Amino acid sequence: MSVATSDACGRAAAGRPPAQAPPPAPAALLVSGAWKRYGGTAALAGVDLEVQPGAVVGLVGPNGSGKTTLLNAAAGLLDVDAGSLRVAGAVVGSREARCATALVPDEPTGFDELSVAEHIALVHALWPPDPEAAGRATLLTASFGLEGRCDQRLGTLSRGLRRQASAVAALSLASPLILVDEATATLDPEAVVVLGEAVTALAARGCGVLLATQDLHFAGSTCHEVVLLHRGAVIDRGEPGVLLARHAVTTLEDVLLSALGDGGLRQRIRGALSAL
Amino acid sequence: MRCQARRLRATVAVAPVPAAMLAAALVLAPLAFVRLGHALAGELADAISTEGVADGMVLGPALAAAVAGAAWAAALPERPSLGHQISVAPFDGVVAVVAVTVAPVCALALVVLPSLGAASLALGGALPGGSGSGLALTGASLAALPAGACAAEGWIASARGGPARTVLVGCAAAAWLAVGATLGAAPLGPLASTGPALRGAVPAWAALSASSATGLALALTWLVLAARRPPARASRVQPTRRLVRGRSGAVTTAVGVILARRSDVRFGAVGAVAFGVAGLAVARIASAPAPAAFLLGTTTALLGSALCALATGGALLAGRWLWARAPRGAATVARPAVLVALVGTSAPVILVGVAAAAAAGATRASAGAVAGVVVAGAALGVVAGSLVPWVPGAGAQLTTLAAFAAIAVGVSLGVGLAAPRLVSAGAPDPLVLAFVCASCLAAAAVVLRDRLERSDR
Repeated sequence: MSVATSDACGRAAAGRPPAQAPPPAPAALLVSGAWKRYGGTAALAGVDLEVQPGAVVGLVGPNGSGKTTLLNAAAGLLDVDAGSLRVAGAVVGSREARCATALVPDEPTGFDELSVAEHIALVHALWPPDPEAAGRATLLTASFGLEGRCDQRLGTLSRGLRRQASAVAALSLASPLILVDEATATLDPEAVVVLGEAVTALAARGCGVLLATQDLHFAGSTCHEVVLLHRGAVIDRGEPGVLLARHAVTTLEDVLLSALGDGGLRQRIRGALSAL
Repeated sequence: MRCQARRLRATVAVAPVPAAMLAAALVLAPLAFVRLGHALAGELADAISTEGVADGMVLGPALAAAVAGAAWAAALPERPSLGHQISVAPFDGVVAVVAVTVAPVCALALVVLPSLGAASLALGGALPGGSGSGLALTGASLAALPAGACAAEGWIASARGGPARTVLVGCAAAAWLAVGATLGAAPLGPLASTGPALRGAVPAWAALSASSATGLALALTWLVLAARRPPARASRVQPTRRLVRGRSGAVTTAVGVILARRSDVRFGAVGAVAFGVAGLAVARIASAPAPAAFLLGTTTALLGSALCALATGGALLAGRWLWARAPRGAATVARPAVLVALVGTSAPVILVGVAAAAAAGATRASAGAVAGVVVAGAALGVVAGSLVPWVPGAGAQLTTLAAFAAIAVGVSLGVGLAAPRLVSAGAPDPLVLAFVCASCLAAAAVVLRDRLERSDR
């Protein structure tokens, strides 16, 4: 993993040569024993997780396994009942941690009346000034093919295009920690490719990326590490290749089924549904 | 009905104490309104023989009800609100309208009817027309609800390219005025016999029959119009002028843009001006003395423009995923949002107020009082909309309005108890007014900030 320097707000600044040997950079995200309960249901059950600067970590798991809860907790939108979360060394929720976090939500609600350009401008205005942010936004806008839609309101765009606009706004901050919820949901294949390349490029300049996804092909091709969540707990983790070898299967889908103890799901369901 | 009942149960489970207090208030409110009716009758007993006063007693509640009816129709969730799966099923549009309105109508009847009926019966009982005329007054107020809703349908049809329907509603409005003119009070239309009934000049049963028949006919007409609404025009995809740019003032501009581009807020603002001007016209027609036209116009306008303040909390909470993570904290969002809500709420009132002052005159005291009511109303609207967000759906919006009414009543009681004591202790009126307004604005900013920062929504 690369070690990146950072500016006053903790923003990654790869390529700037350090004047002297810097201390080891803190993890982009460090989650220790995080618990979150909703009534009697544990959404997070003692999750430990680390996202190093320069790493892309994928959260994979069935619906309701706690992926979004973990992302929201890391973003400071949700308090955990126990455990701790630190972003670039700062406690989640602090000004430093907020400065160091960018979020691409599953559904970027609440800004339907703003145009794509206005939404990006608002995100840039809310975060500390960064002279390079506008340039990155222009580059990302062009990469996603949104140049012709900059003055179109988010509410008039399809959900996939809204998510692309939201991704441009968040990724252009180049924060030390980038959180992406349901990374590829509703995105067209081209946008999935652009998103994958964008997070890879940002990771290369020192950003840590934590993304939740159901797209196991995307996770396998983009993530340095895949974390399998089930009922709020980490049931397995590792590099995609290592996971395939460990479970002696050929796809991450089979890794997930194997880790869930449901390897025979296909045959079972095929038999059950034959009466349809 | 089941969906709404389950939502109500869930709300009660989340906040049992406020729910119990609200239930107690609902039970006790009719008693308070009986006292109000008696007090009002005592004040008006001598003046009731004047035609203008009796008609004014009918006009006030009828105008408010018409505004509420128009807002109701404008906010009515359409067929898709039943869910894509159900809305495509082969059933008639009337069934869809009934399905989305039946629960809110029942809730409204439960909340409003006992109090309105109690006040009207007490009032009528103490007037020459008797209790029957009080019932006729209730009927006239209720009949104005679908009248406002029908007017809104005409407006919606014209916005969506349905000229025939607009002409139809226009003709109906002309007929309404003609019938009213024949009966002696043009703006009241077929309800014009209610005023004479209060004076005892017309049998109460005749006025009650007229208002009931009018209300029923209008309700059925509205049902048909709402069920056969022209489809909404496709969203325009023309380029939008970039207003949020740069860093300075970006948050204030963004919140302003979000609210100003919302169709419900725009509709509320335009409706506020229209109904405010109607209130002004009514007061002029009734030859009410100087501040009455100003007061009626501005307060009626406030009823519509308060939608901007009510919508602010919900608009920001929908984007909480961004606002709450802003490094400078949610307070940097909440304060500008309250300012925007204040400007959005007061703009239509100022417009109507200036017109009213020019046309019918206004005193400095009445202007000050209206300014105070507008500022406090906007702030309390933000508080109510933050606690119970204004989201699509008649049931949800009714809940927000109920919260707004409850908060406004509570604050009014508090101010009513404290302000006279401050004034008698030597504090100048403007200072007390400024203190009340500043407190309300500060409370709005704090509540909105806390709602944005609360992590376990």
